[in-house]
Amino acid sequence: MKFNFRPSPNYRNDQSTPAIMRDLTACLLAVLAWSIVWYSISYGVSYGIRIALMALTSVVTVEVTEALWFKALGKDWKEIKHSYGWITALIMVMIVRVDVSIYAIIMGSVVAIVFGKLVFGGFGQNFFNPAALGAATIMTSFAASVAEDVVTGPTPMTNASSLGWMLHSAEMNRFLSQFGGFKGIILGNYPSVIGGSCALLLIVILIFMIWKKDIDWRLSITYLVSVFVIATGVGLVKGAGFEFGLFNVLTGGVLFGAVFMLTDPVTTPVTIPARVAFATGAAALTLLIRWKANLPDGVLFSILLMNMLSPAIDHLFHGNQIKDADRFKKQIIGIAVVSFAICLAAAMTLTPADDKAVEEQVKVTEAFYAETCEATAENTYGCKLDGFAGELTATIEVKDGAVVAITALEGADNDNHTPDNDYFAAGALDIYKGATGPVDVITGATATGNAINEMVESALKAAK
Amino acid sequence: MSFLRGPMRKHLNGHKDLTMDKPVLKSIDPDFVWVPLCNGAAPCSSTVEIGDEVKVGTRIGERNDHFYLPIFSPVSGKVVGIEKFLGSGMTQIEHLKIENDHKHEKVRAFAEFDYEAASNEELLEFVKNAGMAGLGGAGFPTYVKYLKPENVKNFIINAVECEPYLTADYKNIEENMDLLKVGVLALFKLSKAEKGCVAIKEDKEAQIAALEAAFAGTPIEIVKVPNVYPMGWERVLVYEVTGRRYDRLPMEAGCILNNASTAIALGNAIVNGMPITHKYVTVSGDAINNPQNVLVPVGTKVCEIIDAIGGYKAGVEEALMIAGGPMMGRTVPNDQFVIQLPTNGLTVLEDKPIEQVACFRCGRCTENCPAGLEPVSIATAVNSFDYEALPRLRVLDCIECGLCTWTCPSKILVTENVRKGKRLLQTRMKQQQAAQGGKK
Repeated sequence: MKFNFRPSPNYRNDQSTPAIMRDLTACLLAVLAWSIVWYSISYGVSYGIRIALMALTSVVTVEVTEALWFKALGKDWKEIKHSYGWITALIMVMIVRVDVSIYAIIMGSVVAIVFGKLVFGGFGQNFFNPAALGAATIMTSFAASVAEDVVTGPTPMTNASSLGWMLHSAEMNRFLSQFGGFKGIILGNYPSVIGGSCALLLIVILIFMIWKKDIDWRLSITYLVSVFVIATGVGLVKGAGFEFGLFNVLTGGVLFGAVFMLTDPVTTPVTIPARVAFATGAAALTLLIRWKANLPDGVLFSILLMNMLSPAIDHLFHGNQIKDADRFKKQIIGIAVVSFAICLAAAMTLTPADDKAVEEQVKVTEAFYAETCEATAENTYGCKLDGFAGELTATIEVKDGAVVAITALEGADNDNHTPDNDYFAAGALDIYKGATGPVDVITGATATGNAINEMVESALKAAK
Repeated sequence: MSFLRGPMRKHLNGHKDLTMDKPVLKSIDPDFVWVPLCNGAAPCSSTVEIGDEVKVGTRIGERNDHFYLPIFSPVSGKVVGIEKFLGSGMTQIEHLKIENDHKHEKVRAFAEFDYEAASNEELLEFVKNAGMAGLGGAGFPTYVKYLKPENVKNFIINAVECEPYLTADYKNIEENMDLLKVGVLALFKLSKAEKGCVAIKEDKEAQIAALEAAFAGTPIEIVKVPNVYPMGWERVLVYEVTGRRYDRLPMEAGCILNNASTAIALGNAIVNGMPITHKYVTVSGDAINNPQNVLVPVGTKVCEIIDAIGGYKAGVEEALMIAGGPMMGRTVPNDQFVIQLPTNGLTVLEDKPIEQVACFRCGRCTENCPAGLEPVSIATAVNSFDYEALPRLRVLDCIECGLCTWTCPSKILVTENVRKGKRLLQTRMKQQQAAQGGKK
């Protein structure tokens, strides 16, 4: 018998880093599977295939880049097994939109893994969340590199952004109706970033990972609660109420960020009080970017900005968790108060959207979603969509890329239409003769006008 | 655990069922014993000559620096020499080698003593001369704690054996309940505390029932504490029992603590007039055939104990011989060392390779650190020799309980990093003190 020397303790926990990463991978694959299914059902199988291809491209790019990197440094390329690059790849794909081109995905993946991780020394050493860095690169540098044949509808983020974000309770409900209300939001029945929309799935995954102790619940919960509290507080001050808080938590990348990105321990502070401070700051930044900056969603950049502050926050909370507890508490309260105050100050400049703007936006969206267009005879297309107050149908004749005539417009117009702007009046549709694209709509009946424009575009496209 | 603080303790799989319900083997009577001439890191001197005849209970040595601690012979026989070899603390120590004549002749070491009638001064003197030392692991002379008991609110007997595998204290309590009662009441008297209690883990139901029966009608309460590690650490136990924390010594929080085995030893000294000659030792782990508790004379060689209980498991080629439990016990690279006064366990584990991966700053070490430290930040500071960060990170508060390494999912030797940090800072402080002294 040989007795070896090892420093104490010589007793270990069952939990291991590879097991944690396995859970994380499984959860990301669940989100990926959901996205593939949802996009396939909503937009066609080609969309599902496209998402699978994007994920595959990203994973392959990341793994090949890492293998080459290790090889170039004279290490064993098999170290990619302990570098967990595929997690970066999957997260990055989940936080971009479905129309991003494969080329942009490859570029984003390389930036994410090389400049986000490997140059800092690899797994465990990086400053920035690599997936967020890759996605930010795609958003800022490859914004125009989108696949042309991929079109999805408006997202809650872009629509809320175009309305100036602040919505009163009544308008909020109307606004949400374009995405199926809170039920639609929770079930994720709307396009967004690929993995970001199904709140229910993300909440289930959050609970699972907290239960498995794979992530620090304080980070996720503090972030979500902070977003809710700040948005609700601002909502109450501005007369928007709880719906505003709930809307800000459930849409965009907040939940996805809370589950998969904020909880990346490498780029967040290490002690509990520092993590609470970090999550509070991230929540405030998310809302600030949403409400006041030029981006539809603030999760990505708020996380990247907070990543930069991680070492500073860690430094602020160095000490003994027992002996310095009072100091930590004061610091956290200070950070929370400042975060809330800045958000509130910024929100005071927001003007609540008026009901007409909301109403019009809803009509456009609904029209967008319900449209069909089928050829009924040579050069003639029967189109149908959900209009302002029910189903609209029309027969559109097309020749040489231009509208010849729109006939047989049937359905209901809005309740307050007047003879002046009535599309159903004789000759009213003559303005579409020779049209090769959308026509300026008649004042006062934008919704119906938009709906007819949609049908025209579909017919022109179908005739090509 | 609170919102801003982690659990700071963990339930560990104790493997206590390996030895808990088995009888204690008491037949080990070695031909030679090697009594260590040390108390903690302090050397002790021998008070006998080579060739002297000794009996069980003969005073054979003492520590006599700023503390006093006598050492007594655990066997009867003849002193045959002094040998220096590796002790369980991983330092070379001198041992007084005594040949056992197997006659078990006893000499009563202490005169009859009535602790109830005696004054506190007399009782303190008795504790000092009886060679009582902390048997929980540290071996700190017991009387020192009772020199100036002022405003003591809680007197706590620590029967929380929180090291995995070890059950020696429980066995000792089971078999010596009468002595425990005497020892506890004597120490309680000495402490002048307002309240006294015996703290034990809540899952030890049989021992709790026995303790409650034994202490019925005395001012001593039985306090049940959660089955977590390191519940037996003084700070954690004081906080659990009283809700108070302290900076350096439990006395600051109005507490005096002693291990249950220490109280039993004192009870033995009062009732039978005998010092600590034998130790209950748990021998357990997955690399030996028959894990069980043994009662052996102090100074018995470990290899003899292992042989007596059935030897090492066949097929295990590389093992860890741990003096104590696997969390805080040190691995000794042989089985030729002896049972010392504070030794209460031997854990023999198969040495399986553990695959390490990179730290990803998950923070589990920080959440679970019972001292509230940040081992991951300390490791960074240590590896970059950041001497300014180390005091700010309060590295000297670490007691090396091992929970950070236990909890690390990347299987990094976290505790070892913190240990390095402590040594770096201590060396640095000594250098600075020396430099300042030189200037004056």
